[in-house]
Amino acid sequence: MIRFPNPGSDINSFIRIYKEIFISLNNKDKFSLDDFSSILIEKNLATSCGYMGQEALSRSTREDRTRDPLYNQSKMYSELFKSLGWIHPTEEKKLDLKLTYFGAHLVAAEQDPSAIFKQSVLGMAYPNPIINVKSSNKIRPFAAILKTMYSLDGLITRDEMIVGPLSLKDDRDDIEFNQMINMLKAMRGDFKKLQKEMNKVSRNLSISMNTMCNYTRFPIGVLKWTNWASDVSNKSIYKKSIPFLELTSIGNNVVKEIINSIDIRNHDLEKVDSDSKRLIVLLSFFQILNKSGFDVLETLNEYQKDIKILNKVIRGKNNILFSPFQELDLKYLNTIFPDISGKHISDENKREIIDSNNKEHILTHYVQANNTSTVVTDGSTIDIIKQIQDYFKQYQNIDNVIDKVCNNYIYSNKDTFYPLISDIFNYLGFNCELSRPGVNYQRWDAIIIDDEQSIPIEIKSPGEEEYLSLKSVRQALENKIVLLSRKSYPTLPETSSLVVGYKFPNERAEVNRLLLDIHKSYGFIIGIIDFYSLLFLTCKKLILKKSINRSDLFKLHGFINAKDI
Amino acid sequence: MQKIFKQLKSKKTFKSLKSGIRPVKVELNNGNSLPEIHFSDGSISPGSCIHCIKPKCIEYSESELQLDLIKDFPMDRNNHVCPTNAIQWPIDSACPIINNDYCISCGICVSRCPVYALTITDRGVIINDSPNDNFILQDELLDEANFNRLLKIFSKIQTNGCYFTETDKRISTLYKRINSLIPHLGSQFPNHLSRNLLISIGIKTAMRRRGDTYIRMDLIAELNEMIGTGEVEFSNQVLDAPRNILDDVAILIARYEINKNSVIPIIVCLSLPNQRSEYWQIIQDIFNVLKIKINSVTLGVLIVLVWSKYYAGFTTNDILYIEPSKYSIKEKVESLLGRKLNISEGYPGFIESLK
Repeated sequence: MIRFPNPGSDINSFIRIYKEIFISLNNKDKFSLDDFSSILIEKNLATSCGYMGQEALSRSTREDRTRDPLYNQSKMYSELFKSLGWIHPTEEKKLDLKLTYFGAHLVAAEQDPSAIFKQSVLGMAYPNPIINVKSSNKIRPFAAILKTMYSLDGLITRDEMIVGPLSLKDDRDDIEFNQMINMLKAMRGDFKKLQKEMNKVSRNLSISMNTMCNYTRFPIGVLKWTNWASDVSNKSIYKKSIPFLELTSIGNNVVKEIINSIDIRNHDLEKVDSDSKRLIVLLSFFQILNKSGFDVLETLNEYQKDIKILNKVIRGKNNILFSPFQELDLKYLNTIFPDISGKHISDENKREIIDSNNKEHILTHYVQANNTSTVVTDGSTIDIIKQIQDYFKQYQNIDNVIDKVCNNYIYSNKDTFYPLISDIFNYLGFNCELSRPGVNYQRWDAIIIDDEQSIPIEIKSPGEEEYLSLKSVRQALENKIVLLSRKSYPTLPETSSLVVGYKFPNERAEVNRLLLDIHKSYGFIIGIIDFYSLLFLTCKKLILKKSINRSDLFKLHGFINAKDI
Repeated sequence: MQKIFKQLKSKKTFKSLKSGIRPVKVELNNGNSLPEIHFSDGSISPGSCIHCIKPKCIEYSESELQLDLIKDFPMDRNNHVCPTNAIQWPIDSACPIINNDYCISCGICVSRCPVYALTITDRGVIINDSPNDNFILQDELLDEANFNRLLKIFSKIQTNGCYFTETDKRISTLYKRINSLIPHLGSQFPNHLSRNLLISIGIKTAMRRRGDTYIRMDLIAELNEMIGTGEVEFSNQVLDAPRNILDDVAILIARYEINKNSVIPIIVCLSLPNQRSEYWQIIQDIFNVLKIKINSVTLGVLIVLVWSKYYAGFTTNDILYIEPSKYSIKEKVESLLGRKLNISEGYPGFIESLK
């Protein structure tokens, strides 16, 4: 079975980490995992033992490196970055790492880094000389998973993924592939058969079921992040409700592209002459950049002219599924592509890459394009602002507008509601960031970042609870304590901690009493905001052109009265 | 109008001690055999059920459940000693009987028997009802005054050993039993069991009535001048417990004007959260910011305290506070018991947090 490390399944943060590593370490000829960890800490991109920053580093450091959480986290990231061709081990020492020319393109992808990321995951193939893979499976995992889904009416479960495509011996062996599909089809309808097969894989590999499932977190995260697949629940296939991944129309197109490509692996190139090998490498590399939206058409066409000499290898197909930086070693690649790390890159060229990717510039754009924890407005804010404007044109009455917008979100879950709340705060002039899913040290759902008075926000979507409850107030208290203790962002004890939900609690007296108890006992204030009030503040700014008084929010204690702010 | 009929009481017999002897000491035998009572004439015999008028192994008295300091606590007055109702006294039975399908061997009933007639064994709790040379079966009921005199004599005797010695296997069996029974017992079971265990180790404790949302703490306890507040969490929601207990502490400080330093917050959980759990970090955060030490104790530890005949309660407000870097309650428990525990690791998370 192909085992993916799982440093974290948030792909936005995964890409951001590579960019930070690149920007910080590209002046070095090579770097170590400790350098990697230092950057993670310096940029507040990792935690250890619940702490951020230097405290995390000191708490993590162990004499036995295998037990050092931060070191292990860096190792997992580096394994995946290697599989994606963004870093390579040096020839001399596997633990010394170098940045790659391919990785530099990810950093350079200002407009849409997701495009090159998607090509990178399709380029993953095992085994290869860049990474030490324990498994003997010959698999291009994402292609295999997508093709499997396609053959199974677009649906696959996590367990099917484990016993099916990720356990193939050779995914280019049509007979084996079809046998695998038939096996999965035969298991459907009988959940016990699937469990039995899972147990078999678990026994054969001597890996616990839990660990086996953890190995699928990265691919599942990728399939969803790329919009190639989405979560669905299906009761009929196994006669019980089971979460499935369903191929989207975007995913469907990717499968067709895969089927229409010639899938080449590194060992195929051992059989071709050196000129052909060089041409395949160049063609495939520039095809990837072309598909990722890079301006390489002219260069690509130059190589494409000679494609006929490859006919024996590519068998009439123009699209090559092969990513040189993910399957060939740096020694060979450096004979074709520039070595961009440290001393090998001229200062001038280095400046070009860095200048064209001004750090702040890249990150801001990147965050705008991809990250729901955006500081600047993204589509959802635009959408809600547009909704408000449209309704206002129609009704000319703020209360009616708010009622309409509230109704539009009555069934929204956390995936919709949390970013929406964060965006609204941003629109109102606060610097609000969503917490990354699965990042435990950020106990709050979002945070208003301020130089002195940062405010943690506990959010409840109407899908979780229509009316706010005591539970969310308790969570807001915990958020305040965590922020004061861990000092992740500056704040003051007297600054509010917020709860934002769809509607105020049903039992206001109880919540009020708890707020008073908390204030009297611990001195903290907690503010409660409902969606209606937040929309009122948005309308106030958008329609009445009146800004809200920031200090009112910093001092909010109890239920907001939006008309007074 | 028809009168309300009362249920008939069974005609109970009782046992009394042989004339002229008094108990001197008892060897509890650690669950390896029946407790042996040594008498003033040099004779030794096992404890035998005397068929109490008010069987302490089955019910608490009103006064045992009453709080002195917080009188208006909305308490659940369930007076059953056995939280699974495994011990009962059927009307047609001479003595209480134990349904071992439901007995978890917590030892609460055993610790309450005045004449050491109950024993924890590896097969569950057994009640010895066999008369012997010193415990003689009588034909009629003893009057209450004489009965109380008999109990008073027993309450003063010296005891050696413990009810049941903890071993890895026994702890493991205990947890297996509890885990298998939890789905079949009501939602109040965790609170009920925890309350009774705390009472058994010398802490006057009450549990909250279900449905009362005004005061939300699961348990409240009185220890000399200190007030304990407990959150009981047997599910995987243990991460909620620290914030819930802050709510409890706030109620005690704000509404009852209890000094923060006189509050003992205790989280009772099935197993300690593992070392990577945010739980430990939050416990540390709360201490950093509020200087409140939240004690953490497992159900297994409370049961071991009962098995060990520990009855000294808690004397400080951080008696079971686990330093987040230690992840272990072992040292603290050994300090309470004044001896080393007879376990290597026990059930996962029972006394030490897993990695």
